Amino acid sequence: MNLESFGTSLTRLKTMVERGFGYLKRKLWPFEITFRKRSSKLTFEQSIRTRILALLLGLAVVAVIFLAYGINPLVLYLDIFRVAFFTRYGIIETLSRFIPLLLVAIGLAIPFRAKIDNIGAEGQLIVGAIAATGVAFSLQHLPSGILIPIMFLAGFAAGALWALPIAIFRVKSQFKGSDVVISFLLFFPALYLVEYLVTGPWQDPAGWGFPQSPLIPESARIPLFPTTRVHLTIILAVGLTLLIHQYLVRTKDGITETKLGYEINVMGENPEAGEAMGMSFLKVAIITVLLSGGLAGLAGVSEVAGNPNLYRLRMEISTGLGFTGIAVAWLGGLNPIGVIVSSLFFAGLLAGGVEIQSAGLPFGVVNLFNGAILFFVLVTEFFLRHTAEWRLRRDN
Amino acid sequence: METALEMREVCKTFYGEGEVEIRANDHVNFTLKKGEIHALLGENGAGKSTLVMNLCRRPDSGSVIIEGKELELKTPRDALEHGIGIAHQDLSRTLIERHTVAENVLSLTKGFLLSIDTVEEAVREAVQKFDLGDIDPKMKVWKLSGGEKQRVEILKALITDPGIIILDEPTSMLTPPEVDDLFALLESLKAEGKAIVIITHHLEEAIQISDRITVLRRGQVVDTLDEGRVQKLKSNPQQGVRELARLMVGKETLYDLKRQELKPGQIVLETQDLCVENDMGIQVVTNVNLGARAGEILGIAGIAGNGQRELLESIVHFRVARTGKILWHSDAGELNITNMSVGAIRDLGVSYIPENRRKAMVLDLTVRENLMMSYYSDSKGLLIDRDAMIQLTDELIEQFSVDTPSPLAPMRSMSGGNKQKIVVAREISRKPAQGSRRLLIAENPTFGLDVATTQFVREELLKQRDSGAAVLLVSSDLTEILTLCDRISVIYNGEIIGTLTSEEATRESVGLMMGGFVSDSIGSEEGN
Repeated sequence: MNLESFGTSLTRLKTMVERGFGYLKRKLWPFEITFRKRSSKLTFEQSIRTRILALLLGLAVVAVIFLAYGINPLVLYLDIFRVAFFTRYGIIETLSRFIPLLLVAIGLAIPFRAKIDNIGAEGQLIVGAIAATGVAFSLQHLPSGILIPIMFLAGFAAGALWALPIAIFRVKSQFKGSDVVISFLLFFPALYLVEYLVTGPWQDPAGWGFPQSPLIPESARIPLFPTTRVHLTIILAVGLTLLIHQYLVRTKDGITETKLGYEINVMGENPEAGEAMGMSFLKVAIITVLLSGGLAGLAGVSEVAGNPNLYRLRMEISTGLGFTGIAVAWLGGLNPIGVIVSSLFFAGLLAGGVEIQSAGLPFGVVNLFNGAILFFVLVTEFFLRHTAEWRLRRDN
Repeated sequence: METALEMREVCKTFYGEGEVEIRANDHVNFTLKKGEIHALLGENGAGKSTLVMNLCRRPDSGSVIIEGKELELKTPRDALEHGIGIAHQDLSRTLIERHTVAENVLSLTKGFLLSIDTVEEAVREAVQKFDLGDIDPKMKVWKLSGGEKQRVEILKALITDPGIIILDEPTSMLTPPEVDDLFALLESLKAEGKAIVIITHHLEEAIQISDRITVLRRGQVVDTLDEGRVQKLKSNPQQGVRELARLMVGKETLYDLKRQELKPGQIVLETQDLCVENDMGIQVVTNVNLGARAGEILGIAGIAGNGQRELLESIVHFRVARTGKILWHSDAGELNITNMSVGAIRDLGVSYIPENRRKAMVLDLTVRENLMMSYYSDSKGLLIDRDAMIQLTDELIEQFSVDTPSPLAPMRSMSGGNKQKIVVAREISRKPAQGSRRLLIAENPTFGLDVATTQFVREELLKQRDSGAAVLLVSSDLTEILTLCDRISVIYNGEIIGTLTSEEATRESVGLMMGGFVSDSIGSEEGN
């Protein structure tokens, strides 16, 4: 048999197999599904209901893993929520996770609304923390009232600067998705920078070689609410969120308060039309991305200077808050009020995560929630905008 | 003669941007006999290419019958296997530039284990056999000239030795001697009994080469000229061209629109030797000199793809003008606006109704948000003047009787006509800058609209003219151009090949100029 006829018989085989599959598919799956864009937006209640459904589906997927370990997921979930929201220790821990999570998530929601993907909040948080630490040590003679605001400003600036390339690549590059790639990759230099600092020039000389900086001076620590371990940044975080809601998101009679809010809405839906009408996508991209990176930077400052477990720069400063923030922002429907609720929920999950450990599973399981919930939120996001229609195949 | 291919009651509808419904083929009947050359004629968008594409993807309805058997051809591969060879029009989508000629042909072959040498040999043989000139099968396609690429595409249609050969605009890049060679080749293939379809909008070519001619207009068959009638056309090509042109563009009655007497004012916008490149870096607008005057509608007529879009985009949009100037005349004197930002140009008083509806509206926002797109930036500072916007949008909805349940209804829920009404209402209500005249640029503004909205848009354009604005209307719809324009510039291959006043212009003369004919005799001859 020569090669050519061998090739031909292979082709024939392929055709037969294809036909067979085609036949089976027609018999077993005699439907076609068509997706259409919805012509009307869902009501508020409908969209809430869909999000809760997404949340439950995400929890259900993780429940399967619990079951596989022979743990009753219902009991475990109840335990997590009891600890997170109904014990004194849990509430304080929840609020302490709530602060950086809210800052990161509200920051991410802004560019997400303009369809600019920043998935690198983790890196921006780290550089924010680095900047705050640097300021804390170099200006430690200043009184708290001046030093702490400077640390916040430095953290915001560092995070914003770290995020800036995202905007430029998103608008100028020909490659779709460059914002995703760039924002993610910028996480690594941030990580290596902090590693270098805490194992090199900033390493605590009295720290037995642990990769961490010395404790920051007392004057640089953000005051705590009396008798708790919750620091005042919570007021800043909620305040900023409400400001963003008021000026960028909230609409009255269908009109946002600011031009920027309106431009974000237009650019998020159809940048081509916006540009044809004289708006600048680059401007919108830069502003949203700077805000986003800056807010992540603030989260970094609040961790270094507010979290009593830290008060210093460590390599594992972030513990994935920047990535969790993505799921938080989407679960909150990219709406500041929704983001507050979803931040509380995720903070509770993180705080109640100790229950997972005491049930005999590794703490890392908590991160499963991020992925599972984000997945279902994004799927439902699609169905919030589209309808699916089933019908019998025509050729049957 | 035996029938090679028959298409019965074929329908194909496309949904364009902004949910415009385009009936590209509307119950088309078409037969192709063995041993004939059959020309498909029609304006751009008449549905010629769509019709032959139905041979490699299923039409919405209707049947395709080959050699007496009703077949369902779903893919280009199916077409190939049933002996249909197609040379497509858009070479950038059918040839892979980075591959060699032989590698491009390879995609037509069957089987898994192929040697490129065999294919190269086959290409060499075919080139010799069909006398397609000098084509090296090892040459990368991007190195070839336009004419060579076209010959490769024709080669792809012929090399499988199909019974039915379809050539979509095969001569657009060929030189006259190459065209003659191709036609000689087609004659010899015809003598072998092949059935050949040639798509063109060059009227003389169609008369010269074909045995029968089918003319399409707006997705429907206007007429099929049998052998006898085509023979008659051949005996008097001049007359024949005219008759075909009439069939192609139709004899619609012009809408009765009230228009006041022309009172042309000063020039508002002027282009000087403007040259513009398209996205591929090819110059598609060459030395265009235009002057749009206040109180006048200046039409730019042309078959789509002759540089109109790039010309407009360089005036209002972000496309960079390569050389030449765009000047804005106002009471403050002359201002060079070449390559100024979109926002700055619009602030002078330029309004733009783009052909691409996607650029004109945001479907997922509300009617109000769409209406305020051109006005929100008038508010001072960072905030939007909400009361002014509410008042303005309510007024526009009222004034232009936009049919919407609420200003907060999503744009997507509007009908196609209402969507365009919203865009037109927004664009023509803009106020020019101090001391400037208004310029309204409309690009195929009635494309895909129902009759009532078409009438509405045209009336609004005339109102603009009567109120002293300069209107620049780009349209591939001859009826629209002839009904509305005071002066008509015809663009062909990126050049303005002639400008006619509304008195001089006839459907025929403009139609022929759109096809590249510049003939003084045609303009003056008022026939039939």
